[in-house]
Amino acid sequence: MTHLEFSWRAEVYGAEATADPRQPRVLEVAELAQYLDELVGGDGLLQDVWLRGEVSNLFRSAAGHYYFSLKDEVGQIKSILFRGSAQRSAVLPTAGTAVVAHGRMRFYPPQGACELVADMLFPEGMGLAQMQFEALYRRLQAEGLFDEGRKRLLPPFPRRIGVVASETGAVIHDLITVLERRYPVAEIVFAPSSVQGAGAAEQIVEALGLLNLWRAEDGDGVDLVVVARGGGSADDLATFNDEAVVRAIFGSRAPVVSAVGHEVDVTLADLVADLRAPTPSAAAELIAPDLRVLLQDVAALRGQARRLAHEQLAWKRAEVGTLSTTLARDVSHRLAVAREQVAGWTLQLAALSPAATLKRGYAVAEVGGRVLRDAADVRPGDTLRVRLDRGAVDSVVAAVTLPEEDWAF
Amino acid sequence: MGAPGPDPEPTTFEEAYRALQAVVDQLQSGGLGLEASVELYERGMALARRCEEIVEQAELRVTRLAPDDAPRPLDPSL
Repeated sequence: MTHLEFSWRAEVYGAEATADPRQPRVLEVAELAQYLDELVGGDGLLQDVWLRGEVSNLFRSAAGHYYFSLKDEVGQIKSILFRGSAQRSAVLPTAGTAVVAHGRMRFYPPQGACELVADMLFPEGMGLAQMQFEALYRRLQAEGLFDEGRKRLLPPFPRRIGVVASETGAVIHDLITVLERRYPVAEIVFAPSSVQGAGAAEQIVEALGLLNLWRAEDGDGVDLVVVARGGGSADDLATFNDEAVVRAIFGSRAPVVSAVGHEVDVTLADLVADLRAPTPSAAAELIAPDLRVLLQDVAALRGQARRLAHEQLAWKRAEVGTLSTTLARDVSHRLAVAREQVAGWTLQLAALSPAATLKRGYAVAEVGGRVLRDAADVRPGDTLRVRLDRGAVDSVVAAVTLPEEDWAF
Repeated sequence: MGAPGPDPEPTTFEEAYRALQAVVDQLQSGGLGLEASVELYERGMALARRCEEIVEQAELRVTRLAPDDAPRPLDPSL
Protein backbone atom coordinates (compact mmCIF):
# COMPACT_ATOMS: atom_id res chain seq x y z
CA MET A 1 0.00 0.00 0.00
CA THR A 2 1.41 3.39 -0.90
CA HIS A 3 1.47 6.24 1.55
CA LEU A 4 -1.18 8.05 -0.44
CA GLU A 5 -3.60 5.15 -0.40
CA PHE A 6 -3.19 4.94 3.34
CA SER A 7 -3.90 8.64 3.85
CA TRP A 8 -7.05 8.38 1.69
CA ARG A 9 -8.34 5.59 3.82
CA ALA A 10 -7.47 7.26 7.06
CA GLU A 11 -8.99 10.61 6.11
CA VAL A 12 -12.09 9.54 4.23
CA TYR A 13 -13.09 6.32 5.88
CA GLY A 14 -11.27 6.40 9.19
CA ALA A 15 -8.83 3.83 10.50
CA GLU A 16 -11.32 0.96 10.45
CA ALA A 17 -12.44 1.63 6.88
CA THR A 18 -13.05 -1.39 4.70
CA ALA A 19 -14.70 0.20 1.64
CA ASP A 20 -13.02 0.67 -1.78
CA PRO A 21 -10.06 3.04 -1.40
CA ARG A 22 -10.31 4.03 -5.08
CA GLN A 23 -13.51 5.89 -4.47
CA PRO A 24 -13.13 9.26 -6.34
CA ARG A 25 -12.22 12.26 -4.27
CA VAL A 26 -10.87 15.78 -4.89
CA LEU A 27 -7.11 15.81 -4.52
CA GLU A 28 -4.72 18.57 -3.55
CA VAL A 29 -1.81 19.19 -5.99
CA ALA A 30 0.63 18.17 -3.27
CA GLU A 31 -1.21 14.87 -2.84
CA LEU A 32 -1.11 14.04 -6.53
CA ALA A 33 2.50 15.17 -6.82
CA GLN A 34 3.40 12.89 -3.95
CA TYR A 35 1.46 10.04 -5.52
CA LEU A 36 3.25 10.49 -8.84
CA ASP A 37 6.59 10.70 -7.11
CA GLU A 38 5.93 7.44 -5.28
CA LEU A 39 4.63 5.80 -8.44
CA VAL A 40 7.74 6.74 -10.41
CA GLY A 41 10.04 6.00 -7.50
CA GLY A 42 8.57 2.54 -7.02
CA ASP A 43 8.99 1.44 -10.63
CA GLY A 44 12.03 -0.77 -11.19
CA LEU A 45 12.44 0.15 -14.87
CA LEU A 46 12.19 3.89 -14.20
CA GLN A 47 14.77 3.68 -11.42
CA ASP A 48 17.41 2.02 -13.58
CA VAL A 49 17.10 3.68 -16.98
CA TRP A 50 19.50 3.54 -19.89
CA LEU A 51 18.35 6.25 -22.28
CA ARG A 52 19.71 7.16 -25.69
CA GLY A 53 19.12 10.64 -27.10
CA GLU A 54 20.56 13.84 -28.49
CA VAL A 55 21.56 16.58 -26.08
CA SER A 56 19.57 19.81 -26.52
CA ASN A 57 18.57 22.86 -24.44
CA LEU A 58 21.83 22.50 -22.56
CA PHE A 59 22.37 24.82 -19.61
CA ARG A 60 25.10 24.66 -17.01
CA SER A 61 24.29 26.34 -13.70
CA ALA A 62 26.77 28.37 -11.69
CA ALA A 63 26.85 25.53 -9.16
CA GLY A 64 28.11 23.16 -11.87
CA HIS A 65 24.93 21.17 -12.52
CA TYR A 66 23.96 20.37 -16.11
CA TYR A 67 20.37 20.81 -17.25
CA PHE A 68 19.43 19.49 -20.70
CA SER A 69 16.95 17.44 -22.69
CA LEU A 70 17.51 14.13 -24.40
CA LYS A 71 15.45 14.09 -27.57
CA ASP A 72 14.74 12.04 -30.64
CA GLU A 73 12.40 12.68 -33.53
CA VAL A 74 9.38 11.89 -31.39
CA GLY A 75 9.96 13.71 -28.13
CA GLN A 76 12.25 14.73 -25.33
CA ILE A 77 12.99 13.92 -21.72
CA LYS A 78 14.22 16.60 -19.34
CA SER A 79 17.49 15.55 -17.74
CA ILE A 80 19.86 16.70 -15.00
CA LEU A 81 23.44 15.74 -14.38
CA PHE A 82 24.40 17.02 -10.95
CA ARG A 83 27.89 18.31 -10.36
CA GLY A 84 29.02 15.30 -8.29
CA SER A 85 27.90 12.86 -10.98
CA ALA A 86 29.36 15.08 -13.70
CA GLN A 87 32.77 14.71 -12.07
CA ARG A 88 32.83 10.97 -12.62
CA SER A 89 30.78 10.81 -15.81
CA ALA A 90 32.41 9.18 -18.82
CA VAL A 91 31.47 12.17 -20.96
CA LEU A 92 29.90 15.58 -20.31
CA PRO A 93 26.84 16.72 -22.23
CA THR A 94 27.51 18.85 -25.31
CA ALA A 95 24.72 20.28 -27.38
CA GLY A 96 23.86 18.23 -30.45
CA THR A 97 25.78 15.07 -29.51
CA ALA A 98 24.18 11.66 -29.10
CA VAL A 99 24.72 10.09 -25.71
CA VAL A 100 23.46 7.27 -23.57
CA ALA A 101 22.54 8.34 -20.06
CA HIS A 102 22.10 6.13 -17.07
CA GLY A 103 20.00 7.31 -14.17
CA ARG A 104 16.63 7.30 -12.48
CA MET A 105 13.36 9.09 -13.24
CA ARG A 106 11.71 11.34 -10.70
CA PHE A 107 8.61 13.53 -10.65
CA TYR A 108 9.64 17.09 -9.86
CA PRO A 109 6.62 19.01 -8.46
CA PRO A 110 7.91 22.60 -8.98
CA GLN A 111 8.16 21.91 -12.76
CA GLY A 112 5.23 19.53 -12.84
CA ALA A 113 7.26 17.16 -14.95
CA CYS A 114 9.09 13.86 -14.92
CA GLU A 115 12.82 14.14 -15.47
CA LEU A 116 15.86 11.93 -15.66
CA VAL A 117 18.42 12.35 -12.90
CA ALA A 118 21.47 11.02 -14.72
CA ASP A 119 24.40 9.62 -12.83
CA MET A 120 26.56 9.03 -15.89
CA LEU A 121 26.68 9.81 -19.58
CA PHE A 122 28.37 7.64 -22.17
CA PRO A 123 29.21 8.39 -25.79
CA GLU A 124 26.77 6.86 -28.22
CA GLY A 125 27.91 3.53 -29.65
CA MET A 126 29.20 1.80 -26.54
CA GLY A 127 27.79 -1.65 -25.76
CA LEU A 128 25.46 -1.91 -22.79
CA ALA A 129 27.66 -4.42 -20.91
CA GLN A 130 30.65 -2.13 -21.33
CA MET A 131 28.63 0.84 -20.08
CA GLN A 132 27.35 -1.13 -17.10
CA PHE A 133 30.88 -2.15 -16.24
CA GLU A 134 32.06 1.42 -16.64
CA ALA A 135 29.23 2.81 -14.51
CA LEU A 136 29.89 0.34 -11.70
CA TYR A 137 33.62 0.95 -11.91
CA ARG A 138 33.20 4.71 -11.64
CA ARG A 139 30.73 4.44 -8.80
CA LEU A 140 32.93 2.09 -6.76
CA GLN A 141 35.99 4.15 -7.54
CA ALA A 142 34.23 7.28 -6.27
CA GLU A 143 33.45 5.34 -3.10
CA GLY A 144 37.14 4.60 -2.64
CA LEU A 145 37.05 0.83 -3.12
CA PHE A 146 40.04 0.84 -5.42
CA ASP A 147 42.19 3.27 -3.44
CA GLU A 148 45.83 2.27 -3.33
CA GLY A 149 46.00 3.60 0.20
CA ARG A 150 43.77 0.89 1.61
CA LYS A 151 45.66 -2.01 0.11
CA ARG A 152 47.03 -4.22 2.85
CA LEU A 153 50.41 -5.89 2.91
CA LEU A 154 50.46 -9.66 2.81
CA PRO A 155 52.10 -11.48 5.72
CA PRO A 156 55.55 -12.67 4.57
CA PHE A 157 55.09 -16.13 6.10
CA PRO A 158 51.37 -17.01 5.90
CA ARG A 159 50.35 -19.98 8.03
CA ARG A 160 46.81 -20.44 6.76
CA ILE A 161 45.93 -19.64 3.19
CA GLY A 162 42.27 -19.38 2.28
CA VAL A 163 41.36 -20.26 -1.29
CA VAL A 164 38.14 -19.55 -3.17
CA ALA A 165 38.19 -21.48 -6.43
CA SER A 166 36.29 -24.06 -8.38
CA GLU A 167 36.12 -27.46 -6.76
CA THR A 168 36.75 -29.22 -10.04
CA GLY A 169 39.07 -26.94 -11.93
CA ALA A 170 42.81 -27.05 -12.37
CA VAL A 171 43.29 -23.91 -10.25
CA ILE A 172 43.08 -25.49 -6.79
CA HIS A 173 45.17 -28.40 -8.00
CA ASP A 174 47.88 -26.06 -9.28
CA LEU A 175 47.89 -24.01 -6.09
CA ILE A 176 48.33 -27.15 -3.99
CA THR A 177 51.10 -28.46 -6.23
CA VAL A 178 53.07 -25.22 -6.22
CA LEU A 179 52.74 -24.70 -2.47
CA GLU A 180 53.70 -28.31 -1.74
CA ARG A 181 56.92 -27.70 -3.61
CA ARG A 182 57.72 -24.20 -2.38
CA TYR A 183 56.07 -23.71 0.97
CA PRO A 184 54.82 -26.93 2.56
CA VAL A 185 54.60 -25.39 6.06
CA ALA A 186 51.19 -23.85 5.34
CA GLU A 187 47.64 -25.03 5.65
CA ILE A 188 45.32 -24.42 2.72
CA VAL A 189 41.75 -23.72 3.74
CA PHE A 190 39.72 -24.33 0.63
CA ALA A 191 36.21 -22.95 0.22
CA PRO A 192 34.97 -24.30 -3.12
CA SER A 193 32.63 -22.19 -5.17
CA SER A 194 31.38 -22.14 -8.70
CA VAL A 195 33.12 -19.32 -10.52
CA GLN A 196 30.88 -18.66 -13.49
CA GLY A 197 27.25 -18.58 -14.43
CA ALA A 198 24.12 -18.09 -12.39
CA GLY A 199 24.64 -18.11 -8.64
CA ALA A 200 28.42 -17.96 -8.88
CA ALA A 201 28.63 -14.45 -7.42
CA GLU A 202 26.54 -15.46 -4.41
CA GLN A 203 28.69 -18.55 -3.88
CA ILE A 204 31.90 -16.56 -4.00
CA VAL A 205 30.50 -14.06 -1.49
CA GLU A 206 29.50 -16.96 0.76
CA ALA A 207 32.88 -18.66 0.43
CA LEU A 208 34.65 -15.42 1.37
CA GLY A 209 32.38 -15.15 4.37
CA LEU A 210 33.12 -18.74 5.43
CA LEU A 211 36.87 -18.20 5.16
CA ASN A 212 36.74 -15.01 7.18
CA LEU A 213 34.78 -16.77 9.93
CA TRP A 214 36.92 -19.92 9.95
CA ARG A 215 39.20 -20.45 12.97
CA ALA A 216 41.96 -22.99 13.53
CA GLU A 217 42.29 -24.85 16.85
CA ASP A 218 44.55 -22.07 18.13
CA GLY A 219 41.83 -19.49 17.44
CA ASP A 220 43.64 -17.82 14.55
CA GLY A 221 41.97 -17.35 11.19
CA VAL A 222 43.34 -17.38 7.66
CA ASP A 223 46.22 -14.98 7.02
CA LEU A 224 45.10 -14.23 3.49
CA VAL A 225 42.61 -15.37 0.87
CA VAL A 226 43.26 -16.18 -2.77
CA VAL A 227 40.28 -15.76 -5.09
CA ALA A 228 41.22 -17.58 -8.26
CA ARG A 229 39.83 -18.65 -11.57
CA GLY A 230 41.41 -19.83 -14.79
CA GLY A 231 41.08 -17.98 -18.07
CA GLY A 232 37.79 -17.64 -19.90
CA SER A 233 35.70 -15.41 -22.13
CA ALA A 234 34.59 -11.98 -20.97
CA ASP A 235 31.20 -13.50 -20.14
CA ASP A 236 32.88 -16.19 -18.05
CA LEU A 237 34.72 -13.55 -16.04
CA ALA A 238 31.61 -11.39 -15.52
CA THR A 239 31.16 -12.90 -12.05
CA PHE A 240 34.32 -11.10 -10.99
CA ASN A 241 32.81 -7.79 -12.06
CA ASP A 242 29.75 -8.40 -9.91
CA GLU A 243 29.21 -5.65 -7.36
CA ALA A 244 28.48 -8.11 -4.54
CA VAL A 245 31.75 -9.97 -5.21
CA VAL A 246 33.70 -6.72 -5.33
CA ARG A 247 32.19 -5.56 -2.06
CA ALA A 248 32.82 -8.91 -0.39
CA ILE A 249 36.49 -8.72 -1.33
CA PHE A 250 36.60 -5.14 -0.09
CA GLY A 251 35.03 -6.20 3.20
CA SER A 252 37.26 -9.24 3.77
CA ARG A 253 39.06 -9.20 7.12
CA ALA A 254 41.98 -11.13 5.65
CA PRO A 255 43.87 -9.53 2.77
CA VAL A 256 42.75 -10.83 -0.62
CA VAL A 257 44.87 -11.83 -3.59
CA SER A 258 42.97 -12.03 -6.86
CA ALA A 259 44.07 -14.31 -9.65
CA VAL A 260 41.42 -14.24 -12.31
CA GLY A 261 41.85 -15.29 -15.89
CA HIS A 262 44.90 -14.40 -17.87
CA GLU A 263 47.13 -11.41 -17.36
CA VAL A 264 45.23 -9.31 -19.93
CA ASP A 265 41.89 -9.78 -18.18
CA VAL A 266 41.42 -7.13 -15.51
CA THR A 267 38.24 -7.47 -13.49
CA LEU A 268 36.87 -5.25 -10.74
CA ALA A 269 37.77 -8.05 -8.32
CA ASP A 270 41.39 -7.55 -9.40
CA LEU A 271 41.14 -3.82 -8.81
CA VAL A 272 39.67 -4.10 -5.32
CA ALA A 273 41.97 -6.92 -4.17
CA ASP A 274 44.96 -6.10 -1.98
CA LEU A 275 47.19 -7.75 -4.54
CA ARG A 276 46.53 -8.87 -8.08
CA ALA A 277 48.29 -11.94 -9.39
CA PRO A 278 48.35 -12.14 -13.17
CA THR A 279 47.47 -15.86 -13.14
CA PRO A 280 46.55 -18.46 -10.50
CA SER A 281 49.99 -20.10 -10.62
CA ALA A 282 51.62 -16.69 -10.21
CA ALA A 283 49.44 -16.23 -7.11
CA ALA A 284 50.98 -19.30 -5.48
CA GLU A 285 54.39 -17.75 -5.96
CA LEU A 286 53.35 -14.30 -4.74
CA ILE A 287 51.70 -15.37 -1.50
CA ALA A 288 54.54 -17.39 0.01
CA PRO A 289 58.33 -17.44 -0.10
CA ASP A 290 60.19 -20.38 -1.60
CA LEU A 291 61.52 -22.27 1.41
CA ARG A 292 64.13 -24.01 -0.71
CA VAL A 293 65.64 -20.59 -1.37
CA LEU A 294 65.30 -19.62 2.27
CA LEU A 295 67.14 -22.78 3.31
CA GLN A 296 70.09 -21.51 1.28
CA ASP A 297 69.81 -18.33 3.33
CA VAL A 298 69.80 -20.43 6.46
CA ALA A 299 73.03 -22.10 5.36
CA ALA A 300 74.54 -18.68 4.68
CA LEU A 301 73.43 -17.40 8.09
CA ARG A 302 74.89 -20.49 9.73
CA GLY A 303 78.24 -19.83 8.03
CA GLN A 304 78.09 -16.18 9.02
CA ALA A 305 77.39 -17.07 12.66
CA ARG A 306 80.32 -19.48 12.64
CA ARG A 307 82.68 -16.93 11.11
CA LEU A 308 81.58 -14.19 13.52
CA ALA A 309 81.94 -16.43 16.55
CA HIS A 310 85.44 -17.47 15.42
CA GLU A 311 86.34 -13.85 14.88
CA GLN A 312 85.19 -13.04 18.38
CA LEU A 313 87.27 -15.88 19.78
CA ALA A 314 90.32 -14.67 17.88
CA TRP A 315 89.75 -11.19 19.23
CA LYS A 316 89.51 -12.50 22.77
CA ARG A 317 92.71 -14.48 22.33
CA ALA A 318 94.51 -11.41 21.00
CA GLU A 319 93.13 -9.39 23.89
CA VAL A 320 94.53 -11.90 26.42
CA GLY A 321 97.96 -11.69 24.75
CA THR A 322 97.93 -7.90 24.88
CA LEU A 323 96.84 -7.98 28.49
CA SER A 324 99.67 -10.23 29.65
CA THR A 325 102.24 -8.09 27.85
CA THR A 326 100.81 -5.00 29.46
CA LEU A 327 100.78 -6.70 32.82
CA ALA A 328 104.46 -7.74 32.59
CA ARG A 329 105.46 -4.23 31.54
CA ASP A 330 103.45 -2.82 34.37
CA VAL A 331 105.08 -5.06 37.00
CA SER A 332 108.66 -4.30 35.96
CA HIS A 333 107.86 -0.59 35.94
CA ARG A 334 106.53 -0.82 39.46
CA LEU A 335 109.66 -2.70 40.56
CA ALA A 336 111.93 -0.04 39.12
CA VAL A 337 110.00 2.68 40.90
CA ALA A 338 110.22 0.77 44.16
CA ARG A 339 113.92 0.22 43.74
CA GLU A 340 114.49 3.94 43.21
CA GLN A 341 112.42 4.73 46.25
CA VAL A 342 114.40 2.33 48.40
CA ALA A 343 117.67 3.91 47.25
CA GLY A 344 116.36 7.36 48.13
CA TRP A 345 115.27 6.23 51.53
CA THR A 346 118.69 4.64 52.15
CA LEU A 347 120.39 7.97 51.39
CA GLN A 348 118.02 9.83 53.66
CA LEU A 349 118.56 7.31 56.41
CA ALA A 350 122.32 7.64 56.01
CA ALA A 351 122.02 11.41 56.32
CA LEU A 352 120.05 11.05 59.52
CA SER A 353 122.53 8.65 61.15
CA PRO A 354 124.59 10.35 64.00
CA ALA A 355 127.81 8.72 62.75
CA ALA A 356 127.73 10.99 59.68
CA THR A 357 127.24 14.04 61.91
CA LEU A 358 130.15 13.03 64.16
CA LYS A 359 132.24 12.62 61.01
CA ARG A 360 131.63 16.24 60.25
CA GLY A 361 133.25 17.22 63.70
CA TYR A 362 130.22 17.40 65.91
CA ALA A 363 130.24 15.60 69.31
CA VAL A 364 127.50 14.07 71.42
CA ALA A 365 127.51 14.59 75.21
CA GLU A 366 125.91 11.91 77.34
CA VAL A 367 125.05 11.84 81.00
CA GLY A 368 124.31 8.44 82.50
CA GLY A 369 123.93 6.97 78.99
CA ARG A 370 121.37 9.65 77.86
CA VAL A 371 122.06 12.33 75.28
CA LEU A 372 122.50 15.71 76.93
CA ARG A 373 120.44 18.44 75.30
CA ASP A 374 120.05 21.05 78.03
CA ALA A 375 122.83 22.63 80.15
CA ALA A 376 120.33 22.86 82.97
CA ASP A 377 120.42 19.07 83.28
CA VAL A 378 123.98 19.06 84.66
CA ARG A 379 125.75 20.68 87.54
CA PRO A 380 129.40 21.47 87.91
CA GLY A 381 131.29 18.35 89.03
CA ASP A 382 128.99 15.96 87.04
CA THR A 383 130.74 13.50 84.74
CA LEU A 384 130.05 13.72 81.03
CA ARG A 385 130.91 11.31 78.28
CA VAL A 386 131.61 13.14 75.02
CA ARG A 387 131.35 10.87 71.99
CA LEU A 388 133.48 11.81 69.02
CA ASP A 389 133.75 10.38 65.54
CA ARG A 390 136.56 8.29 66.79
CA GLY A 391 136.34 7.28 70.48
CA ALA A 392 134.98 9.18 73.50
CA VAL A 393 136.24 11.53 76.18
CA ASP A 394 135.04 11.30 79.82
CA SER A 395 135.11 14.79 81.33
CA VAL A 396 133.99 16.71 84.40
CA VAL A 397 131.69 19.75 84.18
CA ALA A 398 133.62 22.82 85.27
CA ALA A 399 130.83 25.38 84.92
CA VAL A 400 127.31 25.59 83.48
CA THR A 401 126.19 28.42 81.27
CA LEU A 402 122.42 28.54 80.70
CA PRO A 403 120.98 30.28 77.62
CA GLU A 404 120.29 33.93 78.20
CA GLU A 405 116.50 33.81 78.14
CA ASP A 406 116.53 31.42 81.03
CA TRP A 407 117.91 34.21 83.18
CA ALA A 408 114.70 36.06 82.69
CA PHE A 409 112.82 33.58 84.79
CA MET B 1 72.23 -11.64 30.23
CA GLY B 2 69.49 -11.32 32.82
CA ALA B 3 66.99 -13.76 31.32
CA PRO B 4 67.10 -17.11 33.08
CA GLY B 5 66.69 -20.27 31.03
CA PRO B 6 67.00 -20.74 27.27
CA ASP B 7 64.68 -19.16 24.71
CA PRO B 8 61.65 -21.30 23.87
CA GLU B 9 62.08 -23.62 20.91
CA PRO B 10 60.54 -21.96 17.82
CA THR B 11 57.66 -23.91 16.33
CA THR B 12 57.34 -22.19 12.97
CA PHE B 13 59.85 -21.64 10.21
CA GLU B 14 59.29 -17.92 10.44
CA GLU B 15 60.16 -17.81 14.16
CA ALA B 16 63.27 -19.96 13.74
CA TYR B 17 64.40 -18.02 10.69
CA ARG B 18 63.92 -14.61 12.28
CA ALA B 19 65.61 -15.76 15.51
CA LEU B 20 68.58 -16.98 13.47
CA GLN B 21 68.81 -13.62 11.74
CA ALA B 22 68.69 -11.88 15.13
CA VAL B 23 71.52 -14.09 16.42
CA VAL B 24 73.71 -13.21 13.45
CA ASP B 25 72.89 -9.52 13.88
CA GLN B 26 73.88 -9.69 17.54
CA LEU B 27 77.12 -11.46 16.73
CA GLN B 28 77.79 -8.85 14.08
CA SER B 29 77.26 -5.93 16.43
CA GLY B 30 80.10 -7.31 18.57
CA GLY B 31 80.97 -6.06 22.05
CA LEU B 32 79.94 -9.36 23.56
CA GLY B 33 81.61 -11.30 26.33
CA LEU B 34 83.32 -14.54 25.41
CA GLU B 35 80.68 -16.65 27.08
CA ALA B 36 77.85 -14.72 25.44
CA SER B 37 79.44 -15.14 22.00
CA VAL B 38 79.78 -18.88 22.46
CA GLU B 39 76.22 -19.13 23.73
CA LEU B 40 74.89 -17.11 20.76
CA TYR B 41 76.86 -19.21 18.34
CA GLU B 42 75.43 -22.41 19.76
CA ARG B 43 71.93 -20.97 19.66
CA GLY B 44 72.48 -19.96 16.03
CA MET B 45 73.51 -23.48 15.11
CA ALA B 46 70.48 -24.92 16.89
CA LEU B 47 68.16 -22.47 15.09
CA ALA B 48 69.64 -23.30 11.69
CA ARG B 49 69.06 -26.99 12.43
CA ARG B 50 65.50 -26.16 13.52
CA CYS B 51 64.81 -24.33 10.22
CA GLU B 52 65.93 -27.35 8.26
CA GLU B 53 63.98 -29.76 10.43
CA ILE B 54 60.78 -27.76 10.07
CA VAL B 55 61.04 -27.79 6.28
CA GLU B 56 62.01 -31.47 6.16
CA GLN B 57 59.07 -32.50 8.31
CA ALA B 58 56.55 -30.11 6.74
CA GLU B 59 53.59 -31.47 4.86
CA LEU B 60 51.08 -29.15 3.22
CA ARG B 61 47.71 -29.47 4.92
CA VAL B 62 44.51 -28.96 2.98
CA THR B 63 41.26 -28.30 4.81
CA ARG B 64 38.11 -28.16 2.76
CA LEU B 65 35.21 -25.98 3.85
CA ALA B 66 31.65 -25.82 2.51
CA PRO B 67 28.95 -28.40 3.01
CA ASP B 68 28.33 -29.05 -0.66
CA ASP B 69 29.92 -32.32 -1.69
CA ALA B 70 28.11 -32.79 -4.95
CA PRO B 71 30.63 -33.74 -7.66
CA ARG B 72 30.82 -31.37 -10.58
CA PRO B 73 32.12 -32.08 -14.04
CA LEU B 74 35.83 -31.46 -14.37
CA ASP B 75 36.62 -28.43 -16.49
CA PRO B 76 40.33 -27.82 -16.74
CA SER B 77 39.83 -24.27 -17.93
CA LEU B 78 38.31 -23.20 -14.60
